[in-house]
Amino acid sequence: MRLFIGLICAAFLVSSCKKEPLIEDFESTNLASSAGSCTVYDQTSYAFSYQINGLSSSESLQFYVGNSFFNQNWVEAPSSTEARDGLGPLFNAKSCAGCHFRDGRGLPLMNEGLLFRLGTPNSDFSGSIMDVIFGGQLQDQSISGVPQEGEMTIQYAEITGYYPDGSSYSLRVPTYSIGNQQFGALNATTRISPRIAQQMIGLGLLEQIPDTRLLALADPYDGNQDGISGRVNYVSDLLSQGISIGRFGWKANVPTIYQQVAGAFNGDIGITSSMFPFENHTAGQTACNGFPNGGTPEISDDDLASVVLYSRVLAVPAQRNVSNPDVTKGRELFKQLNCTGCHTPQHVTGSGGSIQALKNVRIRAYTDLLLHDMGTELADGLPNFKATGNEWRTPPLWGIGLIQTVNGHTYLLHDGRARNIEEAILWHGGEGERSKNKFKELSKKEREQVLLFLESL
Amino acid sequence: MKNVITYIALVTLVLVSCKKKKEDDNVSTPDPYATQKTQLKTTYADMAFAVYNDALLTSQDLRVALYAFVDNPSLTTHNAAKQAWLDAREVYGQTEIFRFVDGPIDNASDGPEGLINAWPMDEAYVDYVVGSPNAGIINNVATYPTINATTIISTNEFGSEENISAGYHAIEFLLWGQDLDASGSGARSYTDYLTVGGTNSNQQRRGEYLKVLGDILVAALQQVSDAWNPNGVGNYRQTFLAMDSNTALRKMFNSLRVLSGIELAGERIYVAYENSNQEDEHSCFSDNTHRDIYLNALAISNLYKGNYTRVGGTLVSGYALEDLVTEVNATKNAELLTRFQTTENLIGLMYTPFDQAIVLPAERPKVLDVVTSLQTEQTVILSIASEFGITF
Repeated sequence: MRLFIGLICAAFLVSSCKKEPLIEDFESTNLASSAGSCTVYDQTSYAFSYQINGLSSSESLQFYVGNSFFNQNWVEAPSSTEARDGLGPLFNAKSCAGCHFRDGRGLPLMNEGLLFRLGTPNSDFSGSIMDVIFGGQLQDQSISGVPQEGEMTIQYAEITGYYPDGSSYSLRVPTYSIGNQQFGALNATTRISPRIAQQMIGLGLLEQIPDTRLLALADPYDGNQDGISGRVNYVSDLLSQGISIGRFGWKANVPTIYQQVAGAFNGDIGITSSMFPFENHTAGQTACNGFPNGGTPEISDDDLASVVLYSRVLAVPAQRNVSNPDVTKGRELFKQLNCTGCHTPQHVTGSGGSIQALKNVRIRAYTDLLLHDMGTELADGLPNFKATGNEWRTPPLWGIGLIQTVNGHTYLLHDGRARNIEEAILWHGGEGERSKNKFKELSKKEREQVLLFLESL
Repeated sequence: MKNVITYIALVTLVLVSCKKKKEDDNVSTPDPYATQKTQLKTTYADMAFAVYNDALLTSQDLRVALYAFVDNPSLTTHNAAKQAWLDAREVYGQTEIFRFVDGPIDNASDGPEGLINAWPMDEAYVDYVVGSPNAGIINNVATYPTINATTIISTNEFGSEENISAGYHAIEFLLWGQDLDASGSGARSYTDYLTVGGTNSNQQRRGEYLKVLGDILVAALQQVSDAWNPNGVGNYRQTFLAMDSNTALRKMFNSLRVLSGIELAGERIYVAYENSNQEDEHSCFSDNTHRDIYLNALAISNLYKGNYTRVGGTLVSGYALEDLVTEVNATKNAELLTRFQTTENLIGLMYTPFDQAIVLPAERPKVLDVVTSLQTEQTVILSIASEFGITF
């Protein structure tokens, strides 16, 4: 499957190579740091997989241990593979890399980095209220002897739209459902929120942006009347046992990388940890009971810490083609359209935390990590802590132009419905509506310049 | 903080030197090492062809041996197939210095590395394992009714980096089986392939699978060998030779630093050391990991020294990085050559099999010594690269 995608991509690559030589060279193509010393200048398909510079020797080595736990499959318990048994009973993937292939981005396909979050259209202190039977997430795979919860079903309908200059575009509108439900029916009020696995780069830097910076960027009542509010999500923090600002996940519903990683092990692979000591099925799913586990917990604190460190220190690829005048123009337009109203270009990381190399770094992440109403067409209707059913966190844009190189596709947005950057822009609604409309009013040449700029990131 | 400052200083230097070079170009002052850098490209391309062509030839021998084994399973044909695998690995380990730069072996569009050397493998994805007699594609007749190249290629790395269903390590697993013995390698019997009175199930499918793995390996290596063939037309060798010399130089240093300090020190040795687990060693079924380590380390010094000795004994050599670095900074050159020797010596001191070297308390420190030496090797390589304005 991946080979075929690869072959299709090959054609794209070859044709784009002709315009611009593949980047391995400081002289013929201009690279710019995107995260100070945490930038990596590799432009190959491994571009998302390198550690940042400046780690201590022990951090540097622990990275590889984390990498192995990130990549390797978990197996059913009991097994001779003792360090990695305990898969399921319900799961979406057998490894982190199953969805984040080469630390990159997933596709809207089963087994390729898509999952369904489930919940009712209310929110409480625990995040979103889960489906009574299925819980907070559809696990579409299970160990032998356990039924699957169901299958993700996606149908797309194409809709045509037009730019003011008369040229047309097509967007695909998804409809989601769950087929082959084997534990009883989904509650009638339960909403499906599809989520794509995101690239892993620069996460430790995003974690290090000071709270004060995010609060300063927030404009919950749109005081400056630019049509963009921007709200902080406050979520439960299992490390501090309190409430913290959310930063990760599509709804900024997770406060720390530690919690994100431990949560993904639990929810996506069915691996228990000190933080999530229970398997991911609900009390009603009695068919999941009685199977051997892979230890209590299934991933040790040490191994989990290695994966957390790994996830914190993946470097950010450099921006490319910075001296191309079209890219420069595109960057100006990006600003003029006020895309930077949410995709905040620059931050400086704080001086806290245990990893020296992540401190006080000037980063160009193109995100404010805040929640924005993106309109009803993108809405999942599933609130999460302070996030409403219309709100999504601004995703960082760094590395966006390399997803093609690393993962062989250009699918974007929370559910991968946008097949490329242009479609992703055109899906913007709500607080992004004004900027999108201004984008549509640009000339074809200018629109291409905006896209070229984004592809350079 | 000091690191950051050093780094910024370094970047500034690079930018300055780039700019300077551009100005130099304007007044037509050539790169003083332009000729040497061009020669380096030729040496690199010649070595790449020689080693990949040897990998192809040994994989063809392996394929013949796999067919002979499956068509007539016996202790003799089984052992011959295992030996052919070991012989092929003696070459393949030396090719890996040509990885990590999106060359013919592992570029994102059609690089076949995932069909050749992907690891670690989740063996239960391919065939039975202890406790799961019906595991794997071989035993899953319902989902995979036909065993052929399409089945295997389309499942390789499907859904996970670790769902490996093809390549040397899949062949290794099908020849040796799981390594459940502390003192030795996997002990799969040739009777797993006897279609009458054989052990375990689906012997016919297992044989078909093994043959197809041989076909895929040969085809994949043929593709890479062809890409470097000096008689090829419009192939990657020509692209490479036409490439900007500094871009090519950057690729060379990139491979040197990734293979030494990242792939070998980190992923292939330290992870196994830290986890004390043979699941994390490179050739876990055959207990051949000590050779993988030696050959990868050799590949690094081969490229630097511009030397490769072909299977038949022919020496392929040319103007080498060693020669260029001697001109630029002889001290660093000497430092790296000494480091290569130190690494090789330390690898020789490790206990074999490797799965015991990472477990026995008295032997573990020797494994860590190799890791540390390879990390130092990477540091020296990075320092030499910076002499040419190359940073990563």
